[in-house]
Amino acid sequence: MACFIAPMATGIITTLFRNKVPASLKISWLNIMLWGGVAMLAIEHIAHGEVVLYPPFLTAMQNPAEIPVMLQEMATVGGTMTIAIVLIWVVLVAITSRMPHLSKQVE
Amino acid sequence: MLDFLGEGSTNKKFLLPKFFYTIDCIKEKFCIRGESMWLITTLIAALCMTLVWYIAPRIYKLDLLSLMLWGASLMILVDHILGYEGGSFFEMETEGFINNSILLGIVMIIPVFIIWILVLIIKKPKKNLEWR
Repeated sequence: MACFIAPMATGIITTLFRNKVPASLKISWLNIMLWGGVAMLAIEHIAHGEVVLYPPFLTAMQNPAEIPVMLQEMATVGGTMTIAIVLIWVVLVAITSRMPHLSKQVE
Repeated sequence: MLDFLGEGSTNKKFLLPKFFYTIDCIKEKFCIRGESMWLITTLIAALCMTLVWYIAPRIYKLDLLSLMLWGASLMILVDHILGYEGGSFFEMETEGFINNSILLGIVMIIPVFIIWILVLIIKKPKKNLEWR
């Protein structure tokens, strides 16, 4: 329904506070992965008619009975997506910080 | 809507090039239908872009494109796993404006490429090449 809202919210926060995060943590990698996924999933949701370009933007919002289902999906699917992306970012940062030659290549 | 490539088309033999019949054959053989296809198209795009990133000069910022595609692949994979409701993992039908899931997969990649092109235009790689 709107699972990409959770990673989008995370992406907004991490993008806004990117300058406050040490450069060694490579927050840009997390931002890029989050925004790439959000852009593609947004198109998928538009194609499925779950997102519209006029208010209230989410078709589930038009039916009050669907709102709790939508929120639950946002929390479960969206939350898991965000956790998965953050985990991959942590693994990438951990690997590149322990292998300087690999870090240089990626840079 | 855009069903001219979809399964709903009755006379698609007269509309589609041979390439799409081949894809249909592969899909039938491996029971790959519906939603699974845009996960596969995104994964293929991510793999291809990672390979190109490894070869191409860094100024083209293919790391950005690859990371965006890998992020999207992971998110779609999580969506598929959590939305799985039994039966064959690849036997899900797609609905909406675009019925053909391969076409949807290609359409989904477009915004990521637009972002990458915009970043390239802003960073001006040709200018950087001249400086070197």
